[in-house]
Amino acid sequence: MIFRLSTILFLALVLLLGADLSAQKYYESPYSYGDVSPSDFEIESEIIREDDPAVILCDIGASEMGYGARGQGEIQFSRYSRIKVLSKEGLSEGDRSISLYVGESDAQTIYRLKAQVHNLEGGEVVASKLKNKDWTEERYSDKINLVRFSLPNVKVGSIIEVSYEIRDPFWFQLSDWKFQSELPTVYSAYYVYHPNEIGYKLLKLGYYELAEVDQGSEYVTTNRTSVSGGVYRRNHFKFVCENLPAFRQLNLMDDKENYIPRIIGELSYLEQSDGNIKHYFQDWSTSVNEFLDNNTIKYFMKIKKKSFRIPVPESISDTLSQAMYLHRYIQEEVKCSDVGNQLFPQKSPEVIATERISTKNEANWLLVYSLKAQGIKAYPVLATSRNAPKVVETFPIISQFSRVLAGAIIAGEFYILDSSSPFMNFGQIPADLHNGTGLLLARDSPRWIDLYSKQRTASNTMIHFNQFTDGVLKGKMKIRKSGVEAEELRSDTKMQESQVLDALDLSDQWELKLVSCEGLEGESDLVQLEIDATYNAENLGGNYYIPAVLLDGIQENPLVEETRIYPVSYPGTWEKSYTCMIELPKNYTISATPEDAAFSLPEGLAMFQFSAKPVANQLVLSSKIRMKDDSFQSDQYSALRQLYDLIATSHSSMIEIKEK
Amino acid sequence: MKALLASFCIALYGSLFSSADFILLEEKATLTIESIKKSELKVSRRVLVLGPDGDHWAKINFVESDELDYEFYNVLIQSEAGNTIESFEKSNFRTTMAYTSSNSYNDKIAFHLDASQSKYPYVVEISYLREMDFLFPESWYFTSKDGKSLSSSFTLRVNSEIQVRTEIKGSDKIEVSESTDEEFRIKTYSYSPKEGYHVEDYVDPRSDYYPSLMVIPLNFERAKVEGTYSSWEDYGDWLIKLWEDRQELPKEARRDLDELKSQSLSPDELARAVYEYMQNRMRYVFLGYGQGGIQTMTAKETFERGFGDCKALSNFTSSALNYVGIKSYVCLIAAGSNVWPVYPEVVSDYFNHVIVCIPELNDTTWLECTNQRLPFGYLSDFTDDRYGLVIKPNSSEICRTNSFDALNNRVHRKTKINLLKNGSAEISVDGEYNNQTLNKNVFFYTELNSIKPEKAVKSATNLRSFDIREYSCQLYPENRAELKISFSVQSRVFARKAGEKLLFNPFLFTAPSKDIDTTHARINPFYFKRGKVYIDEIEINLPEELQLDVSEYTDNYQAEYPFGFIHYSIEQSGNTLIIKRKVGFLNGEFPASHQNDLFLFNQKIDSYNSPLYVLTNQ
Repeated sequence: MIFRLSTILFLALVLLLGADLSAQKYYESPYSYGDVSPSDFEIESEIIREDDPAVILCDIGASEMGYGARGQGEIQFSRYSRIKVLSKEGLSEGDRSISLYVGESDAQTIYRLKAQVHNLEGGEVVASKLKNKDWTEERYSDKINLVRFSLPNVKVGSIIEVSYEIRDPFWFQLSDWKFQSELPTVYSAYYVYHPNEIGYKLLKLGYYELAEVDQGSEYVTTNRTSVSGGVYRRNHFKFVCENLPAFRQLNLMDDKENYIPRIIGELSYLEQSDGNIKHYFQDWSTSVNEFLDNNTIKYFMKIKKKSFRIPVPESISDTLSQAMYLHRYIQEEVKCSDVGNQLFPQKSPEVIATERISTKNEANWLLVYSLKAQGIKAYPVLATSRNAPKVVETFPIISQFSRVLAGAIIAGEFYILDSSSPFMNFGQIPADLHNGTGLLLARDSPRWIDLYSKQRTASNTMIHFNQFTDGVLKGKMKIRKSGVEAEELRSDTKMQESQVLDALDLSDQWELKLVSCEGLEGESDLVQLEIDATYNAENLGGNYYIPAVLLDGIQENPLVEETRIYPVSYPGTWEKSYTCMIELPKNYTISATPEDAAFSLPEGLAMFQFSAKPVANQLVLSSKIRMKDDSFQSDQYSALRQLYDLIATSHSSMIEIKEK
Repeated sequence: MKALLASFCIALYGSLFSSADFILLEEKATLTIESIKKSELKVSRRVLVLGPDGDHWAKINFVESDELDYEFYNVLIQSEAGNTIESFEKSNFRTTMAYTSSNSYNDKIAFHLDASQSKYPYVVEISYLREMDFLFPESWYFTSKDGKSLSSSFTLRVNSEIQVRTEIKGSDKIEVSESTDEEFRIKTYSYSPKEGYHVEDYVDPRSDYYPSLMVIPLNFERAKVEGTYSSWEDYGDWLIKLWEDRQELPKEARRDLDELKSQSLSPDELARAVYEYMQNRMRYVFLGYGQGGIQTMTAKETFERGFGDCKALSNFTSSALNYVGIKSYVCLIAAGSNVWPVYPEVVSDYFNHVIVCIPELNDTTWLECTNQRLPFGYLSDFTDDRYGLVIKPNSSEICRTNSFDALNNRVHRKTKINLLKNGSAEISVDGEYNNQTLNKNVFFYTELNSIKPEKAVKSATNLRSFDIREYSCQLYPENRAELKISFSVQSRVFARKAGEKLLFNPFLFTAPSKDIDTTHARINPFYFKRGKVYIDEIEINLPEELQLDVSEYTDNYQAEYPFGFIHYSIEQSGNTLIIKRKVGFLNGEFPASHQNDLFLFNQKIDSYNSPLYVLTNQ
């Protein structure tokens, strides 16, 4: 959320309302802190699995927008949680940390921290309390302080209670509340209170339905006498989730935050002293314009005549080639790091280009700048990676994004570009950024665009064995990879030709000699390999056996669970094809071949074809897999799992060769 | 000049280091010991990185604390032609807390820099100055363990009033020169191998193999307590003084222990009861603040908090054992696998961990106190089979922790497979792992980390595309160093099809084999620790219409070597196949002349890890 300092000061001054932060009862709880009876140790719940190390009995949070001691706006966040340790693996629940955000001039502060451990000893509940001297606050990073403590006497069966409050000066944003974690949760609730004159936009996210069990407003009395003592009207919201099992990350799943039920909240409006309502939560257009008006960003978006430029050789005259030159120049000359990869650039274009060290986002800011400087229509494109939550499009908050790409229109065609990785071709974005949609930052008319690469993700392997002597097949292999497949090969080899054969990671039965390698350094979209290949077939009882798919096959179903409620997600669509031709001398015959197979999901969204055609002393084996969609919902899961089973069966089948 | 040197090195040593990922061009270290409270180590190093596996030289991490400071840390990256690509100072390093796990408390800061490049070759040049306000033994390898070093030297500058002991290990090719100046005695140790040497695996770390130097100050002061490395007894007495008055147990603990004492238990039972008492009341939390690194919390504080680090938990346990009348001592030990070997004849501080020694129980019982689940008297590969310093007043001594012979480190698995004609199978497994077979075991790891059964079975076996039907895992049943696993699965793709035939590998589990290098004639003897025996018994019910084809795997096989054995047998009764495989690795030292036999032995293990059986229509 981008606020100018003057705006914040203005808001602080015009706040009319005061809530005595210490006087309110923020939440209702099925338990009271410190009130633990022997019967509380008897926990039975269907959501607890045998291997769960602990269970969250209740986790309750409350955020109340109010007024701090110095008259400034602030949120008071309160939390109470009760956890039962179920096994020795759960003893680590006694080691707690709470992160506090540290801004440039202000920071979150913790207070009223209390915690205790209850054990049932001889039928009596014995409590061991955290002493005030036994917790620490440490600097974890530039932006985060960690409050940490280890609780005494935590045992299997212990009930742990933790309660604390945080004064949060960053009141334009509520603390996110997650109702599910890696422990089963019996009861989780989140309360939000704010004065009627200050509004927050609250969004319910995640896979489980969140119950908004209460919403309303009431008049409350504050005893604060400064700016606005007395009575004011307060709105309240209460969200509850009950009986959620532990969340487990599954194969082929994007960020877990997309599925965990949670509440996020941002400042929406503020009624000013003159009665006018100022809206902060408007639309993407306003947010984007505010973002683009930031002084740092302006520097990258408005290029003056005498501004710094990356020189493009005069011999490069067409726009596409100029753009490709700049893209490649930054890739090669600017070394990028993931560390401190803020959305806002911290350096000017000239400093990035001359220091040649930047964050990934800065490299792409430089690309946007350089393309514009070259007269090419270019825009920043904001994105998130697959290991971060997808952007909520109904929530026009720029801070949801974490990555910057460049969008360019060249000769009427639109390209999404990434110069931050040396492994990306022109028009290609990394696999981890294939994460739904991104926002193209055009003033007054931002647009959602699908994050995709020009290059489709495909892998094509062709093997032709034309010699067979004593179980040894000799021939040529051609491999073509594009899109994410090419990116992986470039990354695995660090674009070193000498690493290519190692990167194929083949068994000892292979002897390989790289004949040619094209496109590894990104000079073309495709990486193409030509390899002289020798394969030693397995001899069993005088017959030779060769796997049906010798390279890049799928011999294992990645969809482990028999049922699944979450979608299966890939970084884009993809296809894999494999063809192998085996020519045998006349004294040998192909005595057993794999069965043909074909399977397709409705509308051809996923497809597999497999055939083995023996003709005289030749065998042509082909396999083709195509995923035309990058996301499959739970109702498609069973069919997709069957498809993978069939692929695994076919790809792990064998060819038998016999002497006549 | 530097560029010329790099090019020259590539040309000159191209053949010598043809497989090298880097070449250590030059390395100079100077340790200056000014006083009992001040030492400086200045290091400069140039490394030619030839490929991605040499990048670790450009990924630099170091840790600072209130006792240890890096005055500067400069890194220069140059191209092959000698042009500067990047340069970094200490301020360019990223900083984090040194230990970030939830149960670690410390005041140490870690510095991180990744200056690796994507284009090769490149040169990493680093220089740093490390300052310490206390004296601590210094250990220095002259070459990386990969052995690609051209020149390395270590200069020791010692104030004339300070006494140090130096020990050269691992090479007779280290040249020593001596000089003096006004204040310092100066000794320079140089190592410039004429040729790169080939790295050998399975070498005794205590053997004279890696050229190295130990510098041990005779006297030191830490935590305001003076000590000496003149003898193990003296060093032990320093620790006793540092830990003085920290053994008194609180009243509550004494009351609980009195109750245990009153139960008429045998010494063994009583010691077990005390150990379990500690395990049930306390857990491990690392405390590394200031002197927390070397001085234990008091037994009273440890009891009250219910947690502590290895020192605190061992101190409490030892105090509790002594209270109930079982004589015990804390023992300093170098835990883990990547530690400097302990030379009993060289008194120094090799240690990073504390355990408890009960000398008079069952011919010495050792207790690891940082784990709530570990059975009484069991040391894992973290602390087993190595020297430790048992701390006794005026009589501290080096002792060796216990080890198991191969036959007592055993894996025994029984697998039943009901194979169906479509290639699927119903499979059940019952397995037992004990002693030193636990630590590297997938089920052990997954049990400790609450990992789902599907992942555990997938990681531990070669099964793919299966559905779990039953799963149970018992770690340390009845407080024994064992793990019992039992599971059954429906394997949807078990046998591979070739037309009407089925091909399958009956072994779900592999017996680990050793990678024996035969590209060079072996020089050093082979040194194997923790021998193990792997027994797999498999019963397979074949589909009625199919029969087993004859192949090399339908014959029995047996081989015995001084270093191990393999027994393989197969018998068929009706439609049931019974297959047994027993593989043993013995521990000990074996002559280099066994190189070829070892290679063949391990090759055979590999082949019996993945035999393919062929079933055809009857």
